[in-house]
Amino acid sequence: MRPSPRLRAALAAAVIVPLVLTATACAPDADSSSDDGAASGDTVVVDSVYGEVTVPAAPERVAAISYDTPWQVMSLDLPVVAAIDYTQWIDGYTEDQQAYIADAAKVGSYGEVNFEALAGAAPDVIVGDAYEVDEATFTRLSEIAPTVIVGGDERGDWQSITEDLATALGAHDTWEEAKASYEARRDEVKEQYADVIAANTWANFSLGNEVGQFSIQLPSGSTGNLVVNEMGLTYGDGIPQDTDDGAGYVSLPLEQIGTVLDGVTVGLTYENPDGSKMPGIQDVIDSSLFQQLEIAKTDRVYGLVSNVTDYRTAEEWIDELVAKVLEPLSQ
Amino acid sequence: MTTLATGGRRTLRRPPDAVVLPIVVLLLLAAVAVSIAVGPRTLTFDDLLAALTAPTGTEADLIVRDVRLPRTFVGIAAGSALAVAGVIMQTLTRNPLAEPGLLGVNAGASFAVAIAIVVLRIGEFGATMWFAFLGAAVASALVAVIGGVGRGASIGRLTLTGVAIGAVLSAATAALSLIDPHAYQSLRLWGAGALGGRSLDAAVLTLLVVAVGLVLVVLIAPGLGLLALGEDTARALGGRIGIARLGGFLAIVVLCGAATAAAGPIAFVGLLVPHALRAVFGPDTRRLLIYSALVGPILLLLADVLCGMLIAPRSIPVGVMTAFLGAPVLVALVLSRRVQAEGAPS
Repeated sequence: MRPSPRLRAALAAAVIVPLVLTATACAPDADSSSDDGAASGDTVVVDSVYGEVTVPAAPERVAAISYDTPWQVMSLDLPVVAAIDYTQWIDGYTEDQQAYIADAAKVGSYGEVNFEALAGAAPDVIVGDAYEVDEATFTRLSEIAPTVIVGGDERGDWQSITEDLATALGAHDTWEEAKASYEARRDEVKEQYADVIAANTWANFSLGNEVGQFSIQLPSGSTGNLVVNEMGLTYGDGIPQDTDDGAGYVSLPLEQIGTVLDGVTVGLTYENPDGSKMPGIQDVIDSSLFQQLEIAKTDRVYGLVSNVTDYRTAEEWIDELVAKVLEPLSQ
Repeated sequence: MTTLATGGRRTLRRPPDAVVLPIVVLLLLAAVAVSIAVGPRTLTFDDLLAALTAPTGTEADLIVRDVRLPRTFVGIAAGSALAVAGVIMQTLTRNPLAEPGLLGVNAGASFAVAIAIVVLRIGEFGATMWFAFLGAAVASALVAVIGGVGRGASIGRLTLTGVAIGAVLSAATAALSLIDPHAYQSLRLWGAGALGGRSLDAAVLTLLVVAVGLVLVVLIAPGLGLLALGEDTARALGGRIGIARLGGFLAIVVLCGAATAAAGPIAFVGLLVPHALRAVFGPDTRRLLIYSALVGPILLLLADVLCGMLIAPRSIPVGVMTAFLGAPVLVALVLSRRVQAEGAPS
């Protein structure tokens, strides 16, 4: 089973939230690509969270060492030679994703890079996420290969993050194609299901950080961003809009679920590819306080499998939303 | 507590039980009331009264009966269990740093829960609780057999064995949790140490099991009191050392198994409460046991309420809060004792 964005966010919150405050510097800037690099023909200079980095103009051995980064690189049609060890979650990934990382060297676990293994993979560029890589780690990584750490405006800002990666890896054209395809599909769905979208109030919930808690995706989270900002779905009035910890979600005591989900008519959550839900999510759904909500009484709780990390997976998420939610609700 | 000058020495006069015990009981009742009344959702007195006496299925009723009451019951049970177990372990091992984690009890319970979740796919609380008992019992027995018998047996060896077996079991639990993300998720949540998320039935079951453990403690309290004086003295006074030790181990297994199964591993309660009470009431083991059973829940319930208030509307795990509260108090106790020692006339 692939850990849900909730799980990853929870892990990230525990491991790297303190780093967020130091990682809010500007992201790579496409406009800042150096003329020097272009002139040399084989390198370019890009901005990253921790400063300018000179990278190969057309890298051939990319190491993607943060949790979402391999899939973001995959969306750019580039191979990776190294990634963290996904063994324990491998069954939750699509066959394409499994095949994509099958030959990649395993260079550590979530939040803990194995520098020796990474050096052994001989990357010509290393890419990662500022929410998982602090400046000290960046410095060590830079001794192995040019390292680009991207951040976006917030953890769920996959649009900026993938653009910055595309710039750093010389794959901006591919990124633009994926973006255009996604935007076309998004606009098509928004128009086709405008009535259903407007007639409902939405929420995206999951398990909490502790037993007895639940969590809500904020508009700054990857899926919350997709729901609120991209699809224009209306969140319930009780749902927090933002927090200052950069996690993209908030975990709250279960007794607040009635207040937070008050008036929500469609509840979205995560499920496994086999249709089951993580025990923590099922516990939330089974609780008496959840069962007295309108979405439980009307059986309008939907589990979606797609894990949004880039334009391609976001498009898959929209396809899944259409098939599982919008189409049934429109009938 | 006041001090008396006796022949040039300043000795502490212990407060009488007739005065202190009712106060502590009232404090416990107040902590219980606060635990039920205070939460992320503000409920009126009428809401609380209706939920407790004539529930009709309103949201307030569900909050009180399905969230706060179980939470409070688990807090009472775990607080009593951990604090009393701490006294027993410090007495049995004659080690002031002994607490439920020292003899591998928590690690054994955690490992058994991991086995239940990962290997047997059992996630239901009532079942995992029995696994926690079994794990605590097996780990304790293992520690006792390896470290407490045979030639060269000593308290130091027992403690070292407990630490070693605890470390091995903790590593095995971590390895199991990495095999399966389902288990990792469940164990991560369980391992944070929290009072919430249990059903009323499970919370009542925890209370009953802890009550059984406390009855056992009452039965062996005289023997423990003698053991606290040292083995030789206890034997000289006719104490039945073996029975007291065996009963103590059984009590630790029952109490720690129930507390750990219900609330996950919660640190410092078993260490902090006995030390704080010893500073007030002196070394009388029976008094320590009685007051630990009452003060442990007070500490845990109030810590849990604080967890919900400090960064509201979010909360932090109660295990984190007990560590925050426990560490400075223990440091203060150590410093105050050093000051007393340095200031004492020779």
